[in-house]
Amino acid sequence: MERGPRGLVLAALNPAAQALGLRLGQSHADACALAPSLKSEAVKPGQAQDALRHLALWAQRYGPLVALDEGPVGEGYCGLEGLWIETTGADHLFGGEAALLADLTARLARMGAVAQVGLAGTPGAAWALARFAPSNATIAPPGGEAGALASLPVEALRLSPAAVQLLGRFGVRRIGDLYALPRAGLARRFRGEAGMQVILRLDQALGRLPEPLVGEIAPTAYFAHRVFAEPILHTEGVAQWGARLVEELCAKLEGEGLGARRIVLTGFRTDGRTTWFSAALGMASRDPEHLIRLLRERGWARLEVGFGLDALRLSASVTEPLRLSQPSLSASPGLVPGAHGARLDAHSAAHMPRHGCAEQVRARRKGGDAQELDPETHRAMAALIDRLTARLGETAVLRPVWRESWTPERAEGLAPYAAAPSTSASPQPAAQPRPILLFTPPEPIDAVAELPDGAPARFTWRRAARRVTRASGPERLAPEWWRKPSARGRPAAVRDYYRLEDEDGGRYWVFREGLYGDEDHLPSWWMHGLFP
Amino acid sequence: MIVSAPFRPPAPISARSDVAAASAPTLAAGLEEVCVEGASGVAAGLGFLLSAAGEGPCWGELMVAAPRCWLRERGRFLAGGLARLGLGDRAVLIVATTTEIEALWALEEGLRSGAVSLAVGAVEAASLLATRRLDLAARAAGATVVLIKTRPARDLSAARRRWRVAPHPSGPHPWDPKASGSPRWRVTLERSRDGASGAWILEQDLETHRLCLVEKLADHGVDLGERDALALRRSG
Repeated sequence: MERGPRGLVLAALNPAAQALGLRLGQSHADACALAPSLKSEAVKPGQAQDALRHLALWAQRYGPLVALDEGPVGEGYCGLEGLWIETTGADHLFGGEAALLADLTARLARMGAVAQVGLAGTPGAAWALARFAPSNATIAPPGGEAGALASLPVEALRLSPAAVQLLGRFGVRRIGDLYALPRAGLARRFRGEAGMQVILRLDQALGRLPEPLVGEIAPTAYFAHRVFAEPILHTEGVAQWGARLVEELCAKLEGEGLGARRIVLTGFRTDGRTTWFSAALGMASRDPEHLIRLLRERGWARLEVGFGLDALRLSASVTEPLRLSQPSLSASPGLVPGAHGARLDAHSAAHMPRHGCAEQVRARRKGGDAQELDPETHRAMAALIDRLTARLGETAVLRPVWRESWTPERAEGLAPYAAAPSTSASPQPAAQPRPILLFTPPEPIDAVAELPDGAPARFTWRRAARRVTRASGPERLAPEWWRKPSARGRPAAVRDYYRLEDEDGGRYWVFREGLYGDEDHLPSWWMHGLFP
Repeated sequence: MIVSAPFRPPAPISARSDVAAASAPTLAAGLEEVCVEGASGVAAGLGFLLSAAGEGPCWGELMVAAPRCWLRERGRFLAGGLARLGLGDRAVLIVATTTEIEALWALEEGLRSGAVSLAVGAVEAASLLATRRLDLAARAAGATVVLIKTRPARDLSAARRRWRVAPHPSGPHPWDPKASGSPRWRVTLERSRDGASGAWILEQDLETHRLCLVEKLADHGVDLGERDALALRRSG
């Protein structure tokens, strides 16, 4: 039973309960009145989905691709969930299709799960056969979906109740009845969403339209797990064991030539709950020191220890191949402590300059002041971004990004450093100089111009009056009419930008929005930026 | 006329003309402070420090750390404008933090990482301990860290030098007499570990991206405001 809008309702039934005449969605009180001996248990949200997901991972033994069929949410789909297993090219390993189905049913029965199975060339037909075929384990011969489905009720096409009702009104009860109807007439008669659904589902079941399956992905294979005889009760213990797990995980990753892009530390509590936190890396790494530092900065205390942790697991949920990179020849061989061939390189690949090697790093820098960052600096940068992002959040670490636009505040925006594409989209050099500081949004100013369409002679900004000594402009930027109007509600107007200088030498970038002569909207003046 | 010869001895307008730097001032490794006033002062200070730092080595990235409220009030950094100061197409890392403490932490992390060669922080109140840490981290990495201050400092600071920068009427525009030309700043070295001090009017050459001194009598002449003249009389 589950909690519904009007009290407890039945969410799932076993055959015995169905035999008593109970139905899904019935209120618990009514059901108890019908069957006083009813045994019921509360459903946890997501419990069925989790179980199905586990089953999907197990079912990967039968085929490379297993997809979940959870059905539309909240449409009384309960009891019809299932799995799709793509067995193309895998059935001969089990001795044919029939043998595969028999093996599947037998194994599931041994686990205590009663399963209805069907096999066909399309997901839709298999769905229909598994649920509505008169006998279990029906197999549609290749290309024979139309014949196999003809005698099944139209509900087998995965239709919404509205569509089924609509078909029933026209006397169409079997899928075979649909074959005889002309398609154009069918679509015309069942107008609207319900009608389109009938055509779509029929075509999918018969293989006229493709229906791709999205497979369930296996959980990460790279983890380090530790079970404790005595539960960990303090954050210090988490830090200590976490560091050991990091080393274990890094050794595993090194064996596979991989680096972690995201690591998750999960704690299993004595009260049966789990607590976890994760840290993301901008560049794949398997340097234990860096990972430990990252977790420390995220905060070991993010694991809520509660009454104690029975087990700790550190997993690399996202991994990437980590290329071995060769340190530059100019760097002296003592750069990395320890010296044996590829191992040395693998360590330095995720290495950041530590205090010990600061001397060499500096010596290398003096060699040339090329604009191109050397790989060592690049790696140090990636490590820095990781640490800043871990502590301050992703929205705090930013880099400029350029867009194709000539509205200044749009042309150059800020994006999270980690997410922005690393290939430098170079700035489009503007014809006119741009300020060093930009106000977003622009700030309104009171300006007095000598000529209606000229540069201002005086203006007041932030309650200080300024007299303009020099001015240049205008630089006219037309509004981008293909964009939505701004939030201020008025249509975007032409902007005339002026560079002004006041008596003290302050250099400003102001613009007039709108033109004189437009009776509806008087032009307004705005401060947009400051020049050095 | 602008004399832009870096070899010429400068024309210090301060009373203590005995200590004069050999050429336009540059920033060294370690912690420096730039004191400014007002919104246009912030832009001038940034202009000065970025052009002065552009003369030094640029092996790493440029990092800017500032609290969000500072960025909202003073304006956000525009890379299109920074590029004009001779930073080329170096990547800019902007760290927008919630508090000043976080900004200080980010600066220190950047310096210790070995990837940042110039770090600029907009931090008003930094303790002696925090500035000392920044200075040590910067010198260990061979990088420069600059704090921009808009309010008079209450705490002691471990900065190597303290500059005061104010905007100055710009140089003449080559084609348009009504327009502003190369930016100029009035730069005063107020305090320095090695005892040097001085005051300059500096101009940024927009073509070579170098700082050069503006000749005392050239163009505008050195136009001492009343306040500066008063200060001179007092100190003299």
